[in-house]
Amino acid sequence: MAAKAVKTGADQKKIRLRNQIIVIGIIVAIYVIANFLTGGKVFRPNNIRTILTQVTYPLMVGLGLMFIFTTGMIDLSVGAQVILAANVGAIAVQIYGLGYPGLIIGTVVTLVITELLCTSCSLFLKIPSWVAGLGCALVFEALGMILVGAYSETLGTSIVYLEKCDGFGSFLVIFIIAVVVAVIAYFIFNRTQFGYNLRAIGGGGEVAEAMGINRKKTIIMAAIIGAVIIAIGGITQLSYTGRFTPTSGMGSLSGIFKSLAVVLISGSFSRIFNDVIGCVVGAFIVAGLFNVLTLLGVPSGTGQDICLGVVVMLCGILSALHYKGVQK
Amino acid sequence: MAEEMLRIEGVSKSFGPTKANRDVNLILNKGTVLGLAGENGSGKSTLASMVCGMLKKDSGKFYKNGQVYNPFSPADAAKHGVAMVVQELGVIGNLSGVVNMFLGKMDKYKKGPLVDLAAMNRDAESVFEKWGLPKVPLDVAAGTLSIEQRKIMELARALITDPDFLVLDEISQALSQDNREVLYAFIKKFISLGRTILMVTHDLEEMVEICDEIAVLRDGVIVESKAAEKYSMNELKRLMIGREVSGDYYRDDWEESYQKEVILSVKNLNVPGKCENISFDLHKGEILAICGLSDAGIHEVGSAIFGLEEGRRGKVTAGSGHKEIQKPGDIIKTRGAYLSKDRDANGLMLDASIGDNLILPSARDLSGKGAFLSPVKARKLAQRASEAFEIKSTGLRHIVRRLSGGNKQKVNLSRWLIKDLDYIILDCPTRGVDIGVKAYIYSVLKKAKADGLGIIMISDELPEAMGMSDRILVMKNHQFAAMLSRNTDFTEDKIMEVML
Repeated sequence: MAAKAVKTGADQKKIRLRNQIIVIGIIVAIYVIANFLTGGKVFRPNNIRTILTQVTYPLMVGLGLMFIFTTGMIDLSVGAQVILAANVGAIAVQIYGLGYPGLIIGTVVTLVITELLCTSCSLFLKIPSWVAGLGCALVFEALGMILVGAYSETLGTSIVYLEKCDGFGSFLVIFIIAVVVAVIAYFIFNRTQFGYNLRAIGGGGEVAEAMGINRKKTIIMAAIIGAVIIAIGGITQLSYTGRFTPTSGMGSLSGIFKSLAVVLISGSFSRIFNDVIGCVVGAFIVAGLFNVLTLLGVPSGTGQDICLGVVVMLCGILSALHYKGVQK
Repeated sequence: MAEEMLRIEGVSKSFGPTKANRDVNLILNKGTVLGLAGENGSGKSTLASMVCGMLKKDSGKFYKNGQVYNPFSPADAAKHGVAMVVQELGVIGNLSGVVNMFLGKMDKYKKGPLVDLAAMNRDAESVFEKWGLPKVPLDVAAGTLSIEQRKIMELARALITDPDFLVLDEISQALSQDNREVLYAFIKKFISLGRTILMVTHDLEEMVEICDEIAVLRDGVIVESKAAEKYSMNELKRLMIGREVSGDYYRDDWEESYQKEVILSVKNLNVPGKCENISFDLHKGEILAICGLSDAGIHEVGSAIFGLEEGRRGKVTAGSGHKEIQKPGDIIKTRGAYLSKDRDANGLMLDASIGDNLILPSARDLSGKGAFLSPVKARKLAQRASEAFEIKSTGLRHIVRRLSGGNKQKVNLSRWLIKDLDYIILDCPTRGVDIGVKAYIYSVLKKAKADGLGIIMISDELPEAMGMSDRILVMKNHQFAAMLSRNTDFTEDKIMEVML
């Protein structure tokens, strides 16, 4: 049977590569134009350093979310989880003097537990994941407030500041950690049995189960891996900014807003870039965009968000050009 | 005496109040093919799924090679040498073909934390070679493969574990004539090695020819089981349906008969790599069949007319006003419709109710002022379609995914045919439906033709094309090869000669 009607892998790779070059070319061109518009401020060494630093947190949280979202779980409690987990890590350092082990174990373990709780609510109680996520977000936000409230009296401040063990927050370390996390995420997602199982669950749960893939186990594994990656992002961000301020009333969602945008952009580019690479590209788009808009004096929260929304949609349009969306 | 491979003893299965299988007893011997015949919804796929560990039986026992066999999952069944190619398409579209083939079976290919893709590719290739299966590109996303390629890939996937018992559920209906021959050659080779096949097919001629034994299921009960050559075709149909079925459900005339008026005109239709310079006119009251070997481009012609193919060139016009069709919406506006071969992916809303599926194409017509869709009108229309097409279900709220293949196709067809259309493009309208539903669909098409509907029927089955159409457009290598007339040219030899 000739495969004339189907493009071969080599053909598809060529087209994909061409599209990747086009997209990256467009992004670079936009950076160059932005540099021109800002009077050369974008490419100043200090600003490049700022952009590279600002890429890291949305990228790592975005990668973690990608693992979780691929299973079909739309967990919107991640912002609240990060706040709670980072504060547990900070308390372990500041109050109990547990140093780096306390920071890492406190944050990672808390985030894994909270993510598993949220995933389990959806998986075993059969609640839609976004409902479970919103419910858990309210609970985790409240827990964060209570926890920080309880310890802030001891510290004499209303926020738990990380004043020691902040080595993960320096530019080079934070950037290297993000690169290592992205590389590991790439291999887990694309080259391991778990990664294939995960993508199979995302592509068609019933078919995947019929092929002998344990759906629940795969989802739980994805939640754990996603939580660990997000926790690493949380640790570096805590080290960089020195604090995670607890919020209530779903305010935590705004903390992962950029990461959600990264995942959305990655999804928009899914036919051009591998999902992990899409997250990296998305993180550079988001960080660069906010940086340039700030340099141009566009107000944050309104003008910048409008621009981000437009960019996310443009990425989707760019990715869907010439695509009829039909499986034969 | 023949050696026993699988014994099914008193197996029953229910879904709520529906008894899918009741006290089924069968013996499958080594080196044989047992055909499972029955109407849609008679319990064939349920029985096959239980054998393969996809469903759990309520009661009864399986014995394989004399040992109790109680598979709790497809993976467990595979460990016992049992594999299955499922009726509905079972691939993960976003993963490559080779990854699809080894999903759930990758332990062997682990290299540290990673998976050895090269080794998987090698083993996949060797399966295709060993069993003489036509090559399928395995390095592209499975969703971009044609239905036929996906089906062949699924067969290769089932063979990865080197099973000695294989269940083929409606596999041949996804294949064109040439690849059916490949399938038959594979079956011969497989059983010559002392292995066994349980085959479910609605093509009764095929079943009688291929199978050693045939068991007939009706309403979940085995009503007959004996050597294939002991059945007459009429007996087989009667046993399946429970009443006499007329031997000939195709047209009984042998003349082209349609009106002069052209309702759809296709001029120089081109889709790079898929079809080249296809031109024809469809007349009012005409059934025009399009046939060809696999990858001849017949299915792409349908989707290109509908406006789904990228890079389409040429001109498609409809009606006396010669309104040009460029996108799917234009077909609807010109009182036309298109039904894809892959009804699950491109036709039905599987997780919606029968009622919602039936209403959808008519929603605009049913809407009143302020775009308000009257629930009473909608329900009446859905009820009318459901009754007219005798859709077997628990009601309009029944979820489409839970219907049998034939009833899904009835939903798919009825929602369009109850509309007042000028023309319709049907891509393999009887794929995966039983003889009763097939006969019913043909009777509906004959009536629609008499009422002046123009029908393009893309078909992988020559008897169907010859039995129903006025003209057959034969394609070869993506190009027009011949236009054959019902008046003179309708013999299988002649059509095959043009195809080859």
